[in-house]
Amino acid sequence: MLQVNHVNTFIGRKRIIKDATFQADTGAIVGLIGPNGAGETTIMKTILGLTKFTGQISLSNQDVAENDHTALSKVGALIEHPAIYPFLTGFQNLKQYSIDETDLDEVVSKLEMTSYINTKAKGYSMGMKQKLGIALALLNQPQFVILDEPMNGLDIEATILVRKIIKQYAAKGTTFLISSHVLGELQKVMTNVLLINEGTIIVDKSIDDFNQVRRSQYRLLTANMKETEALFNDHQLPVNVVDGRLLIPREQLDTAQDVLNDHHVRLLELIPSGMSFEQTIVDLLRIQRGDRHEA
Amino acid sequence: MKRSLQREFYKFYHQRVPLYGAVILLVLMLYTTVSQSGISENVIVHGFGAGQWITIIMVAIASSFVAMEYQNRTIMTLFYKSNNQATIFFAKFLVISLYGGLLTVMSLVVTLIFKMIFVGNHYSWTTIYQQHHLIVGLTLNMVGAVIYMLFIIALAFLLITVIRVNAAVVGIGLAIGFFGAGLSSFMMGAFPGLTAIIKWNPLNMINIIGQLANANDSKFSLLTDSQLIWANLTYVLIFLIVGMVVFKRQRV
Repeated sequence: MLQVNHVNTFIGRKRIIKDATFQADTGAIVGLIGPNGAGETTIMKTILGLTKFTGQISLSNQDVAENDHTALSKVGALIEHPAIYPFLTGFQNLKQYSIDETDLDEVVSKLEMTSYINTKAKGYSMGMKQKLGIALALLNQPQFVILDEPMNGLDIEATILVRKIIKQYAAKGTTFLISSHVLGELQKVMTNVLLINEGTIIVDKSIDDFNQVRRSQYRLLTANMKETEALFNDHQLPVNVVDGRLLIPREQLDTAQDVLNDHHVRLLELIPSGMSFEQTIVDLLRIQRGDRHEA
Repeated sequence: MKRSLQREFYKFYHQRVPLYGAVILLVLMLYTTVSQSGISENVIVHGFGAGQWITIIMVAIASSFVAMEYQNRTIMTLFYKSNNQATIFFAKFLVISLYGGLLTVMSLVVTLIFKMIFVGNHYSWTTIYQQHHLIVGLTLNMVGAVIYMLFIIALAFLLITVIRVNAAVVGIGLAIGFFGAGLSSFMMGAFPGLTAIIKWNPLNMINIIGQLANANDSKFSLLTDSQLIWANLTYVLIFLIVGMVVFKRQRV
């Protein structure tokens, strides 16, 4: 769906995005994560053909250029703030860009905006404006949607609703690129992780691969822990007891289970263990900064 | 281009600004009837000051019609949804110019009504004033006002694209409207040796509002009617081209 190959984005003479290469498959929800000023918004603007860049960006095999936005005809976006005319009603704001009124009504209904869609947008709360911005991005059955901090200003119910809608659209084949500093929210929807720091993409993995990396250990509890420790010692498995549980590296999990099975030791608990998502991100950023300073 | 035009018309139509512009023009023309000691032929031939008032109103409206895209951050959506940003700029120019044309027609009708109400048959429309019948003089002045209106809209578009501060553009527009002609005359008087060049300065272009109906005004502008028309249109073209280039290249 989306292909970004060796893209460099320049603002003036400064290179903001450095040799970015990644792709997003049809129906994927790519979470773009990075510290403030890392380049998330710039990379989103670059995909929308709003900045000067070198390299290649294509959507459904059609190239995007600064002066050719033909490939963006089925793209929706919410960047930085909802782009809304306050003197128009919510409906009129949407109608400007809508090519199918049935689809427009459906988007309004899905986002539960029916009660206020015909009032002037200048009277909207922050959350209502944010929903309208998301509605604009979801108009006309887009193939690709960019959402920059979509949960900004949304209450709990609206956040859950938006999350649900994103999943529904993705299930129908819409690809999403979403940036958010609220990692917990992003974690609940994304299928891929794209970590960016100082304009460089440092992680590009599916969420499963990413979780495997961060959940590198398993917590193990058996009916007879003393015997288990002894067995592990005998089989040269690491014995690392924390809070009454043994910590087993993921790659030695099969061997550990076989040993327990062979000696009829009952397994009571086996839980993936490792750093939290946030901790992993922070650690990766720290490692990257360390590498760079050492270099 | 068609879609850009539709969007710009849609936005302009749904604002209150067009209505306010028409009401303000009406009030200012009414103000002209009472601000002078009696309504002279000169006041009538200038459409109760319509040319000058329209210039001022159009600066404010043109500037805010572009500025709102930056203020509401809608410029980014406009840009990525469009294949050619220049069409957005040109569509906006067309919409505002058409509105300016409507204001001019309205001012012509209001002039006819005001003359009927405040002057009656004291001056006939066929009275010779300056070199033309009063009605011909009024029409020529309105033609001049329309040409200068295009100049001022193109200038406002260029300035707001470069400066992006609506108040500053309106301020510059007001200064040109009130002091432009005087400043231009002063410059030509101060540097008589450079008159051949200075007479083409943009501030001198405002003289077109009165000169088409009164050939004597060419002693202020030092340009013939046709020179003044072509110079105005050339400036419109220059402002539009430079404005479009800046508009396209700006970071959003």
